[in-house]
Amino acid sequence: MNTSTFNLDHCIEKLQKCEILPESTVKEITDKMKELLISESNVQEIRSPVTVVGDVHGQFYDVLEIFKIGGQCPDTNYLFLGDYVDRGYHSVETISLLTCLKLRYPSRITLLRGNHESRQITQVYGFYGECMRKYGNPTVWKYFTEMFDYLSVAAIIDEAIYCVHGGLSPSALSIDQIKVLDRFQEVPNEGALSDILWSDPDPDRDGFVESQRGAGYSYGKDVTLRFLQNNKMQHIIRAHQLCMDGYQTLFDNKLSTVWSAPNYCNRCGNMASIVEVNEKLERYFNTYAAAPQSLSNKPTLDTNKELPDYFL
Amino acid sequence: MSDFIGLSDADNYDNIEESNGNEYVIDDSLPLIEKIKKYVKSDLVLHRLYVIREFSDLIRIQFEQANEILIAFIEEAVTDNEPVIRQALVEQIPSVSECYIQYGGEDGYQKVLKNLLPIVAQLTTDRNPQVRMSAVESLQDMARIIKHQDIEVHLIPFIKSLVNDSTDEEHRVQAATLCHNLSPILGEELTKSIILPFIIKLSNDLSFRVRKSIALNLGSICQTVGVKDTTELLLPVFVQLSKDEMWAVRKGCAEVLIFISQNISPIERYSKLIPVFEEFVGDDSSRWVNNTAFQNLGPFIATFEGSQITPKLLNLYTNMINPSTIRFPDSDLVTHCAFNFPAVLYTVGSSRWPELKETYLTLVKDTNWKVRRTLSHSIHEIAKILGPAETKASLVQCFNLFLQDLDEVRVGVVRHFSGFLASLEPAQRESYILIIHSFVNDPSKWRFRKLISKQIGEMCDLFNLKTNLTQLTPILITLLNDSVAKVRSYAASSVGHLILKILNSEVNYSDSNSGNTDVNNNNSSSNSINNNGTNTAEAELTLEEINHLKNSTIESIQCLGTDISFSNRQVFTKICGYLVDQLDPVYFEQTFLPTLLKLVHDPVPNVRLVTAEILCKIHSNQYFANNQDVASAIQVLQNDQDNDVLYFSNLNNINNYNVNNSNVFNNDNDDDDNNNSENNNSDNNNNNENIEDKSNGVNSFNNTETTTTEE
Repeated sequence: MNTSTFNLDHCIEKLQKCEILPESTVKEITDKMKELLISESNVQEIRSPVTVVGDVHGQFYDVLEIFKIGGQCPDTNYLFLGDYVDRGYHSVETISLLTCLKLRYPSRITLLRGNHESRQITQVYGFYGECMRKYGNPTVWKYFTEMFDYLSVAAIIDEAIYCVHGGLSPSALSIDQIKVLDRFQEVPNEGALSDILWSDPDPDRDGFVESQRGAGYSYGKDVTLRFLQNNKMQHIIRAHQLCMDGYQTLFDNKLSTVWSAPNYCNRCGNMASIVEVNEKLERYFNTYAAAPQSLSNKPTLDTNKELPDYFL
Repeated sequence: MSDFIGLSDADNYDNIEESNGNEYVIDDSLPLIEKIKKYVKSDLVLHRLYVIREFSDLIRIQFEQANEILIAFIEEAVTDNEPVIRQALVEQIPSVSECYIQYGGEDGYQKVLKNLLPIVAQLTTDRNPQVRMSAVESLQDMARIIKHQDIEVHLIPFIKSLVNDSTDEEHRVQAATLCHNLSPILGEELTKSIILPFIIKLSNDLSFRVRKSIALNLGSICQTVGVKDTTELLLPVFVQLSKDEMWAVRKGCAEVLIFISQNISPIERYSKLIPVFEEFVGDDSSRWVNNTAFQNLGPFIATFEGSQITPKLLNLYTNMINPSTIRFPDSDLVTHCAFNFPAVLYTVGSSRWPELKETYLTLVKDTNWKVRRTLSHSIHEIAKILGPAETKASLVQCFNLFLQDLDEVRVGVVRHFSGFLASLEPAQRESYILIIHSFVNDPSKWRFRKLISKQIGEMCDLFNLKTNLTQLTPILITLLNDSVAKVRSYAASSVGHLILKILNSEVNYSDSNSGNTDVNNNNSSSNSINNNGTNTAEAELTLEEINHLKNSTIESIQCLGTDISFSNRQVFTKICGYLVDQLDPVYFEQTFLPTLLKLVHDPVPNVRLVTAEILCKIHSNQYFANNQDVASAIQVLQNDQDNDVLYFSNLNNINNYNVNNSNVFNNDNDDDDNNNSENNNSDNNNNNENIEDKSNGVNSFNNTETTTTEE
């Protein structure tokens, strides 16, 4: 059996059993993914019904849980808002599975970029280390991080719901500005491309204020409502911030945060959710807890010395 | 909580990559042979490991160029100092050998025989235990790859030399393991003529490690040679070793007791093995022997015929939970007692339940949840063995206790809920409808709802028509609308059974004299009970009411197909996928097909693609193969704009489509149901405690030891 034969269904089947793909296969899928993504716009336009998923951070068994709760792809359409890797024990399996699903069902699943889809961040927060452990060399990490440069950064559902990983940027108040950015690069330290992946809403302060994270801004109710009005959008869905209940709505229900990694880092004890947007653009937050396998599963070759402390 | 990173101005990720990665990176641009040549002698273990794992790819892709040089690489790698290298090498050799045989003809085969096989054989006596273990496995594979006649000439002499090697006891230990592993491959004749003499010789070896290895390996050998030779030749060896002066040898015997027992005649079993067992647990001074023997007592009992099990033997079993008779206090015998209970009861028979009853009632109240968990998973089996009267008298109370227990225990009775109800009198079952409601209405435990929705179909057989119509149908409709896709999916699979039940009951009702004309393969006794129940219960409902309820049930299903929510329309399609197999085709065509056909124009592509899949399935059904409406509908979908709809409406794709891969019928991939892994609570106490505090019942489905006891 030639393991580098390109057969997506077989790859997906393997990955669903939590078996990683050979390095040569990773090269093939990331190459093909780049070809596919190059023709996608910075701001992807997608149709309802669609289920929106927030940060999953390498929690592979919880990703499988999402498909059990929300429905398998292609029965259900999915929009992932980024942060597929780091912190969890199975970033490799997670990003590999999602990549294969995108290649297999390009019309059914959209993957956006999160702030963790970055060379810098993944070297600190776990993805690089995990690749080294599982493959013995950093080549796979290189393949994926190159692929991350190609991911779209935002999506619009039915010309009404704007979806992005972090949020708004003072340098790009119009969606048209975001459409013309050059996204094919490492996440910069500043500027619109960085902001939209790093920003957070602030219910207590209006306007744009520099973020405590060291990148991006916090944005208040006023700029959010103005953004919606100027761009003729009804609602914003974003991720990027942990929510104990799995989701949070702000600004008179004009903005939602969705968080899809339950019991984050095996200690937060939080619920997670996915947002099911139906044909009438109604939003239902389907909440769930950690998968049973997530609780008992530990990495087999756990040499945590090279991984950073996961306290928040 | 926020991801705080300090960003420096001079950041350039290229620098980082070069300084960290350079010395590790393997140059992928080299052709395969050059790459291997370059790195096979590298100083870095990782490099050498990497290329060795490429060997089987190399020989498969470039046999012509590589077959000479690969032998050289392999022979070099055998001498590598790193055990992980030698281990990886020996693991590669079988697949490499297959290629030599496949592409190399006779010449290739000779290389396997003369070069590769000896290498694997040699590595079975490597100084490193991991290498030895992998080598033994590989040698098994090699024995299957080479021709059977060559085994005698090329492999047996090697084993013989190990057996007779007086210099190193490790070699003789390996010889014993090899005998065990190779005997199934060698077959009965060679085992009897060659291996058995080795076994007998080594069983008298001066080294206890050799004798222990022989004891452990008797199990598989006796399965190969059969009852007669086991009784005549192996049983004496076993009995002799069971009295060995070293406990490790005796323990080995305790471990294989069951296999011996399965392969000798009942008389010998009774006369020779029971005394051996009684020795193990009675007088033997070693706690390990004692423990191992008790762990295997249940299965040992199961090898007997019921009447042959003496009260004394059964007492040994029931006393496993009795602290005062346990000789070595720390052994966890209670769990094993519980685990094996169904097998023991089944073997002795329900008439001897009184000898076991007290033990069972004590076990179900054990403070260790793992004990209760194995019992909750098997109580339906006990009920089946004991029958309705005794189930009511003794088991119902236990069942009810389990329903209130921790989730880890509860899941057992939920999973086999309908199995247990089947062993109750029909009148008793009604009271459990409320329990079903409580599970279905609990929003926090979707896995329980999933398990219920899986069983609704078969539960229809257990209740009368009125209950089916007024209770189970609404429950099923609720589950079809569940917020969790997997629950809806399982509910869809239950619809057919329900419909059949209510449709066929009509026949029974109007024609009560002619008895059961049910076309299902239902348990006929439950149906006759059902008939009686039906007649008396239906005195409460008029015929008009019944018909109204039946019609509205069918309508509820049909309405899913025109629902405003795409998700319900999808569920409808999946239901049709099951119904087409279960219902009368004429009825299906009239009642459900029209709605389904309309879905080819559904505005949501996800609905259309599932519709495509189901229509192709229907098309492949003989009755519908020439149905014009179905064929036209598929054609419409074959001109759809959406690529996935096109894929699923292509009959070629569907014919090749493994049912297990199908989106619709994806119900068997249930890792969480079957593959529960060991609970790591003990490793991770602090974290788990914190989680429980914060989460207020977020997750109560901790994974545990698999203890499905199907006997």
